[in-house]
Amino acid sequence: MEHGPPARQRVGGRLSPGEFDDLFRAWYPRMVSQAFLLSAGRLPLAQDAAQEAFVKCWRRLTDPHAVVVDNWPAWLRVTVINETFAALKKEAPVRHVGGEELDRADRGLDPASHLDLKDAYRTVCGHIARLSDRQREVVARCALGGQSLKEAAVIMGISEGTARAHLYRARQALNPVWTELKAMGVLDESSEGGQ
Amino acid sequence: MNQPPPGAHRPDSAAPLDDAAQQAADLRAVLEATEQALASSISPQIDVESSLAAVRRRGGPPAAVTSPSRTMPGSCLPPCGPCRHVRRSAPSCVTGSSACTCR
Repeated sequence: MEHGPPARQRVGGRLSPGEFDDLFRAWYPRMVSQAFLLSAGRLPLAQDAAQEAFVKCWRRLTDPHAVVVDNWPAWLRVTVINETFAALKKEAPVRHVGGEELDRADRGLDPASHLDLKDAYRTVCGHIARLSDRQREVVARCALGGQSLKEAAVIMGISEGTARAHLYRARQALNPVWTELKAMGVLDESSEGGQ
Repeated sequence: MNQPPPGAHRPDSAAPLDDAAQQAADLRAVLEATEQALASSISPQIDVESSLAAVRRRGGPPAAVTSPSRTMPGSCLPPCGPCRHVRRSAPSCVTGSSACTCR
């Protein structure tokens, strides 16, 4: 199932146009997948978010006054997260009823139903899709974007305690897949899943 | 029966004490693995080369010879990261530095 570069590979500094193309070919599918996961299965939105991030990357590379980025994949991850949630917010305003944020994704949505995926991954996609947008954004920023809870909370305009609660609930929501992913060797025994 | 005050059910009212860093690490392992699996499944549905062409088209042409001059002080300084002031002059070229020298 190996596809693309290692998740934490570093590519940094000023890139030539050819090196940008290599970066794009290596990371575009991964960035689309990240946005697909975070947008609860909206492939066109995911492609737009990933392309927008690469356009910004390209413009930075061609701007002699831009601050040099020392880890483009990490920069792209955060930029794709920003683009994805900005697009989701434009798509429809978040609705609140009785103080609870309503999920924008359809309940029971299987965003990966048309993809060839192992059941465990399909289940993860389903669980992610059923998280609220806020939960998904905290997960994205803290787990994928490498931001601290405090940083994520500031960006999202919520308290750190609320961000912590969203992260906790998202983590709990994924408990059902822990055993299966461990059996597949995706998670090692040090992972705390299901506890 | 005591009624909770309005707003008492905010998520932070039940903030757990678990280690957020550990939770983020756990989630990262799951998400990165899923993202990788998704990438191999989504790849056939996306045209990487035409997407690359679209990005290059939207991003504009590569910069002409824009290598910053190392003989003209201040000519190659990026805007200050923290305060976004454009530095007007500096004693020497520090291209790539994001340190603030505006103060």
